[in-house]
Amino acid sequence: MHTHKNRILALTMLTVAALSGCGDGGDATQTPPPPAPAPGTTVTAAQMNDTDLNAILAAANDGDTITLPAGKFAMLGPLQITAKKNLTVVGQGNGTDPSKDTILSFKTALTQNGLSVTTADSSTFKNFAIEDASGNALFVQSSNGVTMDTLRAEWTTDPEHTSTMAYGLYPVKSDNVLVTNSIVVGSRDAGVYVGQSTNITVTNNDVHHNVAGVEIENSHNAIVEGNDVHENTGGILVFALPGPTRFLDTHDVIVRGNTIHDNNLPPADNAQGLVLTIPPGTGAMVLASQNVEVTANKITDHKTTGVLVTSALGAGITFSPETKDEQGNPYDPYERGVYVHNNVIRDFGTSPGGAFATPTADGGLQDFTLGFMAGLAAMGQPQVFPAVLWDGIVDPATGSGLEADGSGGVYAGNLQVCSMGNHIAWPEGAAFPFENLDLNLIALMTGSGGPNFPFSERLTCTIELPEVTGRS
Amino acid sequence: MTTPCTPAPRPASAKAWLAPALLATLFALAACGGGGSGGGEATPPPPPPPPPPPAAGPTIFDPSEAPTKLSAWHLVTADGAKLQLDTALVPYDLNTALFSDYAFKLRAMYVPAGKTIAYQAEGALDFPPGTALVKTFYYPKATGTDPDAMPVGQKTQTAQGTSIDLGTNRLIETRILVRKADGTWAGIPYVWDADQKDATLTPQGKYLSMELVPDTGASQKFTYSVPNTQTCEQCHASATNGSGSAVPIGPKAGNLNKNYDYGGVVQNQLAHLDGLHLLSGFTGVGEAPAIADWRDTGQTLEARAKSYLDVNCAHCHNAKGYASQSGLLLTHDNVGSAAADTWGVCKLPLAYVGTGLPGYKYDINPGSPETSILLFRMSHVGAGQTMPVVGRQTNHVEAISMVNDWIAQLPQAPCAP
Repeated sequence: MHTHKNRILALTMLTVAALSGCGDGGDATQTPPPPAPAPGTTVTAAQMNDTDLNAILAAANDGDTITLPAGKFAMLGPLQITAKKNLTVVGQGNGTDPSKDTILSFKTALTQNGLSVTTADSSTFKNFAIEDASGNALFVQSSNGVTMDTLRAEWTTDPEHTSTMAYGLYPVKSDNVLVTNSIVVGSRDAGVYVGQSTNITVTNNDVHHNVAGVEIENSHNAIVEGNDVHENTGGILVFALPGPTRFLDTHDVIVRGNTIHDNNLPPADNAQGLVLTIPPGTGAMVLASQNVEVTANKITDHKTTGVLVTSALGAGITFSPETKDEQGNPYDPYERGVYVHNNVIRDFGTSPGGAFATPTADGGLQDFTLGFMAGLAAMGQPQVFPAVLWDGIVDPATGSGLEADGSGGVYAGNLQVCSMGNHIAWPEGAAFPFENLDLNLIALMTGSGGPNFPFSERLTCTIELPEVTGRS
Repeated sequence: MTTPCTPAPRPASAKAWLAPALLATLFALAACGGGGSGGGEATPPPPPPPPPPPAAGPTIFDPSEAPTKLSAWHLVTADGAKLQLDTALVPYDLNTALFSDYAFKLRAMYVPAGKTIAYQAEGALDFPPGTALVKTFYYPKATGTDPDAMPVGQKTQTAQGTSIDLGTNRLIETRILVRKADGTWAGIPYVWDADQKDATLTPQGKYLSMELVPDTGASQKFTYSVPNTQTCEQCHASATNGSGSAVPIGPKAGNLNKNYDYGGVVQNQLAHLDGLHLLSGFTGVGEAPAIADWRDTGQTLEARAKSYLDVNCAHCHNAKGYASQSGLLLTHDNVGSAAADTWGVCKLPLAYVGTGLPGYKYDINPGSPETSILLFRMSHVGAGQTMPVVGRQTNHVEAISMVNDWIAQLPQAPCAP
């Protein structure tokens, strides 16, 4: 990635040089003619209702730009785009100020969803807000080339208790996806949720007061970079879940350079389902995914842990091994090739939540948590969970050396799960950094062994992962 | 309906070259007053080759050139007192129909003269280009309480036939699904004018304030939604993620396999189409599939639920439909199959996160309709919960009861709490 940045710099310098080259030509420089206006429709304020706007969207030609006026406009039903190419929907400003920005309000809508888009290759959505849409604010599926830029998707009032916005920005079953410069607030599931997609870049967004901040799910080749993710239940999630039809696996994801802080919100009242797998107070969570790198992030103030890496088994997710995705692949519940390194992680683990606070009789790990904390207390150590947690479950098919009960075991080479070289702020009074906890969960459950802490040998490794390129 | 006599069957060979309206008139004459050959069963001799047909009967437009008024199609006529299908149309009904806020529907198909429908046991019948499927939505008239809302009756449809009495019914919209020359389909919605004499092209959709008045009990106000072009696709592009070319949803062999009252003559619909020589490749009613009428208490709950979910959900909830990303697949073939998680049993929802109430965790929790999200979403209205997301603003109380009973008796084990 450094080479990429260098390349961009080099290009910029070339451009600067080229410009100055032109300027050197003396006083004869001609002002180029203004570009012809893009074909399309400039929508009037009077047309800013779902009936008229849908008629405009239906009539749009491939390549059109639909320009929305500033103001806040109420919609009674969803806006829809189907079967278009190279369509751009652009509003004014960044969607925050109704006097000069474009805001689409679905507060009084009769049916769910804000803007729903299906089969719109090379589409761009830019400079507007979608407020108070039940279901999904902006949903784009089955499209190759999706840009969401400078948008705001928000549940505006008391999202913790009233939100019915499942997802904010939601590209799914799509390829070449860019979500950037946007604000997502108050979804009861994931704010930015990219599912069943490939070649994804999610960058420079401000995502808060959701259950999951940013989620990459059942997807391939994703970059999550430079986002500010805060005050969600969990910050950034890299998940593979059973159920989806296009892909059952997640692989090749890099989470880097994000600011992830204070993701300690209890799940929204309306949250339900697999998103509740996130223990509140988790900075980043990697679930049943392969080739995932979490690096150069600043991860601070999380009451459960900074980074949680778990198999589906560890998360209690059940699945049918017979079910295959459209590629013919079954669900893969294991973590392999995970590398958590060079992150700044501080202020973590003071009050573990979710499964770690759920009574053991209900399938939770509360007994373990209480025992772990008691052990720390007995040693005179601060009673906190470490910065990085791994459930320690190894795939018997691709790992080796597992015990008869399925516990233990190691992966070789780049299949390993590694957490090394993070910049950990030691908890106050600690005698060691609290960097890693290898739960060795199966041994914990069967009583055949226990977690590895403070030195987690299996996590102390480095690996090399394939390059992740994101949106191409 | 116009003639008290039993109409004679129409030979399809004649249909190819005779204007249908003229044909009907000839037969009416032959059967009732003509010839004195005695009895309505008489078959007339083959008529002589006629002159070129007059410009009567339906005109099928390319959807991009749809006329502003429905009357220009000559598919139906309405005079404020009665809506009448053109005689070239064949009306039909479905074993199980999509619920649309208790609207009644008069369905009919127009197949161009000389063309046939390729019969297939699975999926919609393969109609020839130039076909128009014509569906008129209407309600029994009722007396309401709010002058700003159109009062409509909350009843269960049993009416069939070829006309609608506008003394007792109110027309709302007529949707035309046309198969174009290139084989693709497109939907064209018309909303009926206040005088009930014609309908106006409304591709942008329309909201109508209504008051649904039951025979007994309190009425409820709701907003009836005429779908726009995109919404049509969302349901009808059922094999392409709800985008692009629409396909018919209702007229599948299994759903057409039932009797219809053709104005006094009751006949199996597939046999009727076959008798009109409109079907090719048809292997007989005996071999045709039939899905249950979900209202038929003589059928098993499973058969009724499979039918209802297929017709009301599976246009989106199939592996190629608009809701495929949910992984909840509610086709007739899939519901009840061994892969129970794929039709909701103990399946955590993927693209939806909850009722906001405790206890609801799975789409279907066998034995526990009161904690099954599928039933919750069927039985609520409002932006946050309503399923289907298109075309329902009121609860289908009779179907909710049936699906409740079905979930309650499912043989699968209850899900983990």
